[in-house]
Amino acid sequence: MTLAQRTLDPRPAHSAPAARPERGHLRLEGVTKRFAGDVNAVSDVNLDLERGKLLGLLGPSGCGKTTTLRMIAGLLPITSGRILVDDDDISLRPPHQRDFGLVFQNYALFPHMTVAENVAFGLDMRRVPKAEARRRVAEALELVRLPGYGERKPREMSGGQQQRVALARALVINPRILLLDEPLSNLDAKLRDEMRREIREIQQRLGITTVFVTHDQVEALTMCDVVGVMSGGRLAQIGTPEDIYERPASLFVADFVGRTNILDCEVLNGHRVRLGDGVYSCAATTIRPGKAKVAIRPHRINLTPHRDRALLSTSTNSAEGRVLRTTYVGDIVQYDIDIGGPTLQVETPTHGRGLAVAVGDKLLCEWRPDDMLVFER
Amino acid sequence: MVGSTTVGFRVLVTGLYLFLLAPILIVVPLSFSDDNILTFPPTSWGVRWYAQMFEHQALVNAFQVSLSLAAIVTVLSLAAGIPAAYALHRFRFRGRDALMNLFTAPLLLPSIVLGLSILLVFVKLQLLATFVGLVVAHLIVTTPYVVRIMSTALTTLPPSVEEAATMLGASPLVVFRRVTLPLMMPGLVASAALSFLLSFDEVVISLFITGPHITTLPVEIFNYVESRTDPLIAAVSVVLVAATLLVVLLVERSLGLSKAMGK
Repeated sequence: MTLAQRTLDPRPAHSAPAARPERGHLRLEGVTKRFAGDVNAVSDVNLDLERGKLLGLLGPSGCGKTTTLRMIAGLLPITSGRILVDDDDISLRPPHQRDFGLVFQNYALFPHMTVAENVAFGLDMRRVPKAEARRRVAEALELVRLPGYGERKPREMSGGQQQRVALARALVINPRILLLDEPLSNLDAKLRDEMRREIREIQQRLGITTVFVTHDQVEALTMCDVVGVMSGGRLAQIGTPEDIYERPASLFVADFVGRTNILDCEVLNGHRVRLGDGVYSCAATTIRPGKAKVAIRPHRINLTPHRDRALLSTSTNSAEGRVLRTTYVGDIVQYDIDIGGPTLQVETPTHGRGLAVAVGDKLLCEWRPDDMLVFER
Repeated sequence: MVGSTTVGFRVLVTGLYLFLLAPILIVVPLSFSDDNILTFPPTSWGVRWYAQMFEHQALVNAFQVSLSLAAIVTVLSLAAGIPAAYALHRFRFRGRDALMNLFTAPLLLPSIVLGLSILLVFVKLQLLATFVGLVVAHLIVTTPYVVRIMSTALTTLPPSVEEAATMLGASPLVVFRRVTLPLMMPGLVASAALSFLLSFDEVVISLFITGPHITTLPVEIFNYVESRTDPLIAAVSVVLVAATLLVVLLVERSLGLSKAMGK
């Protein structure tokens, strides 16, 4: 099937809601990697990625996300566990027989070949007839908006263009799974934004199951259907971007994804914590009374002038605070506010009318109990 | 200001070239001398020493030895040096740095020291004045250069390029043939040419281990000028320069060609 046919004739994934639940296209079962004599680089990763979905593996450097991707690709042998595609165990299959597309951070184009030869390489390996290969190469270059660039050499192109060629080269073979290894981190911020949109658009149009490795949480949240946050070689949490952001499963995830206040607190019962001098309502917790940590997103805290206290809803938390520091960022202003013990970081959008708040001002901070998440220390 | 530096620079470059090319500028006219002894400038002109050269059996034999020696040494040093450079470059293993240093150590040794130590070892191994002995001795000189040049060439070949080919369905052999080898080509040609020239020109070490039965062209020339002073040697030198130039031109050509092809 060619790219064009596939574009016109999407897989019947979403057309049969009554049928049995969609089988996972890619499944990892207890996948583990141990390098000689070392602690585990990747431990017991389990995930089930539905056909046509985009999974983002997110984490700091050294968390095992690239190792996981390379194991899926087959470039690194797994120490234990299983990798399945459509219930077909491919754990031991060599990479050149997996039929996966991989896009590298440094593009990895063949410098001695033209753009067209680069894109045609995979078709050549599959012994696709010359005329058909030419047509499919042209289509793939069209898809990444580089029509007519076939005769160029990679070194004659910009980074963004080279990355598009790499994408076309990976897509033209109609891979069973597309793997992207930090494909955008060598591009400048503006181009990155553009490529993010473009990759997502192509991925959805082709309905191709994709694993995307990134250390950039914005990339993970904006592009992916499912985000897996990795830490220390383990999958710390897997879920929709909203799950990850709103309902982080651990202190690490809360801290790594988005900005957040993390403060020491004392759990009093399943829905109340003591924070500094005050007692506040928090999201329901099963943590036993005692010392714990609490996380609150800076932009989920509202600031109100002192005199408006009467207007406050009784169902929200409120605390009196004194402004210690203001930082003008452009789209937001960050405030450090002392609420009698702990210091809260608060963010409010700017309006172009200058700062109404000065250091030393007294303000009321208010936030909903649901935005106050409690974690084990 | 720009003009004056350009003139000064031109004078400097011309002076440097004259200095570097002076031996050739003297040897070429000398080879066309018709005199019986080396005098500069020659008093009469002719090509008789070129004709004589081919009748001097010792020189012809030595030339043949040098040619086959250089060819064999080139092939063997590439066969040893390329895999070594590849392994040193691609794999991280214990003792990697030590091996790299070991492979390139002969580069740092004065050839006279190397020649003497090879002599001492070869006496024991009965390799003195044998073709095999010459091959082994020259390999010690050329292989480090191959390892060095290929290591540099391989740094321009990131592993991900080979992995990209693998992911597109190429088996390891196809990856090597379609990606690794073409990208290594410039380094390969350069190290082949250098090995050939190093072996072909080698004098110091060869002096220690050649003998009456087998000798190389440079050593034979050396022996010749010790006993004779006729322009024959100038004619031989010109042939050597021409041969060397040919190799360098070939390299330039093929490297230029592969550059045009996208390296």
